[in-house]
Order: sequence, then C-alpha cells, then structure tokens
Amino acid sequence: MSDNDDPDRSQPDAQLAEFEKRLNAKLEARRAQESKYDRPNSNGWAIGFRYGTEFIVGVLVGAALGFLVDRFLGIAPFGILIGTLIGFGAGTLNVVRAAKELGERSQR
Amino acid sequence: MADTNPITQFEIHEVAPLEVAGLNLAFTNSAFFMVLATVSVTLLMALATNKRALVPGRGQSVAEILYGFVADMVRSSAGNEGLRFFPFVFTLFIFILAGNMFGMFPYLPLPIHGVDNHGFTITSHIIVTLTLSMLVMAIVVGFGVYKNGFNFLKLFVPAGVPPVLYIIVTPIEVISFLSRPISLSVRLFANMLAGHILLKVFAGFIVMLIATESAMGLVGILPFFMVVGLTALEFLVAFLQAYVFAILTCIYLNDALHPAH
Repeated sequence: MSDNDDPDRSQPDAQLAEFEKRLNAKLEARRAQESKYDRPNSNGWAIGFRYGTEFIVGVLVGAALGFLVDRFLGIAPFGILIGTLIGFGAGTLNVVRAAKELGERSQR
Repeated sequence: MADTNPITQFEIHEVAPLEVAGLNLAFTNSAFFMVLATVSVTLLMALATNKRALVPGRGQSVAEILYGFVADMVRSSAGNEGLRFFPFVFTLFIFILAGNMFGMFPYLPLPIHGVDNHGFTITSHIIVTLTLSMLVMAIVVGFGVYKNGFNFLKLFVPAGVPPVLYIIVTPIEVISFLSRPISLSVRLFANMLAGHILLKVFAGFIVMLIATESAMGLVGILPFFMVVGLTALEFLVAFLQAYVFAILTCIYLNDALHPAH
C-alpha cells in the first residue's frame, strides 16, 4: 500500500501523528468519563440484600446440619449448638468473600 | 372490588391435566410461562442471527451485545477456561431474564384455554430458582471432580492456614459451600416475590380508594405514581437479579476450575 495513490492520505506524517495524539487524548478522557458511570453498577439495595442473604443462609445451613447430626447421632442439643456457631463463621466468611468480590468488580 | 389480594398472582393453575403413575404432572401456568420464555428467546435469537450479516442489523446487534455481555462476564470471573461454560451461563442468564421480564406483564391476555390472564413470574417460586441453583451446583461439583479428581477437596482446605485450625476452618468452608445454592436461589426468589407483592399492594390501594366512590378516589393518584415508580424499579431488579445469578454462577464455576486458592 503506497500512500501516494490516495489523495486523502498524502498529508505529511507529522500532521497524522498530531491527529493521532489528539484522538488518543480524547478517547482517554471519554473512557475516564465512562468508567465514572460504570462504578455503581448495582444499586445499594441489591448489595445490601446480597450481604444479608449470604450471612443468614450460612447460619441457617449450619443450624440445619447441626440438627441433622443431632437426629442421627442422638447427641442433642450439642449438634445444633456447635452447628449454629460454625454457621455464624460460615456466614461471616460468605460476607467477607462477597465484599471482596464486589470490591474487585468496582475497582475495574 | 374483584381481587385486590396481592398473592393471587402466584397461584398455580392446571392448564392440561396429566397424571402418570399417581404423580400429578399437569401442565401448569408456571410451565406455560417457562415454555413461553424459552420459545420466545429461541425464536428471537434464531431470527436475529439467521442473516449473519457482516454489518449487523438492529436485531443482530441485540444478539451480539448480549453475547458480548455474557462472554465478558464469564471471562472476567472464570477466565478464558471458563468460556467452555459459556453456553450454560448464557442459557441460564437469558432464561431467568426472560422469565423475569414476562413476569412484568400484570395482565397477559393469552388465547390458550385454561391459562389465566394474569401474569406469572416463574422466578417468584422457590422451587424453580432452587432447581436452577442445584443445577449450577451439580455442574460445579461434577465438573470439579471430573477435572481435578481428589484435588477438588482442596476447596475445603485453604492454603496458608496452620494445620491445627483445619478442625474449625474445614467445617466452616463446607457450610459456606453448602449455603451457596440456597443463597443463590433465595436471593432471586425473594427479590421477585417481594417486588411483585409490593407492586400489587400499591395497585390494590388504587382500586380500593376508587371503590369508595367518594372524594377519597382522588387520593388514588398517589399510589398510582408509586406504582409507576415501582414498575421502573422492578424492571431494574428483574435485570439485576438475572445478572447477579449469572455472575455468581461464573464465580462458582471458577472454583470448579481452580479449587486450590
């Protein structure tokens, strides 16, 4: 491809480079503008609900497992007690993971 | 005041009765809306992509944007390896999205006999969302064991923890893993259920106020504006919850691909 065939492309290289520089600056500004709008990609209620369910479900599953252990091993009420405690741990872990993941997503 | 009961919308009706070996396998309005969502999405996608134009038309751009959106979602949370699950995640996302959006019709006149005219949101029933999340978990466990074998259990034994603590950490990790399908399904179901009840409660206020046949009827304009606002919010929730379900599916699939981390 020789640039001389095309009358539109016969501009000096310096002018072209200048144009590219301006274009890149504009594009960068545009991207910065857009990323500002991207950040709150879900509303607060959805995030709050997410944390809430993650925590409560952890506790409930822990308690349910403890209850089952009670039923099958006949060690009531220790299974449900320990199960609920571990469930609290699991719920907290779920919330920490959710927060980490949401934080990573909003940073990008 | 015909029906201002906000939970009538969740009732299941039989459309075509069918009983196999004592099991009631009737085709219900819920099943009807699932078929409606699946068929309409399939037709839309087939129609949008059948031209395969180099410069996409309007329909094809919609299909391509959807494809790009889901592909980005899969790639960003499960990596390029995760793209083998792209058809699954895409189907899941589009099915939930279509189900939620069909649920946004408060009144859907259908020519089919037996199908009630009120709308129905398939994702407002926990049995539907739990089935979907169990499907996700079955794939995560099945693929995780198939690909990593015994190493899949490393998911429950995080690295960098002193061995003594495994007595506590492993049960916590197990419960955290078991809670995933439940939180995944409860979130979608509760959001759709709560939103639709809220909509119908406020819509019921309008009917009740106008039924007083007095000046009180004019106050009905207030819940009307509320319903308009809530409908917009519900469209956002319908999309957002489908998105959240799909992105969490990707994150869980990532665990099946790389259990040790």
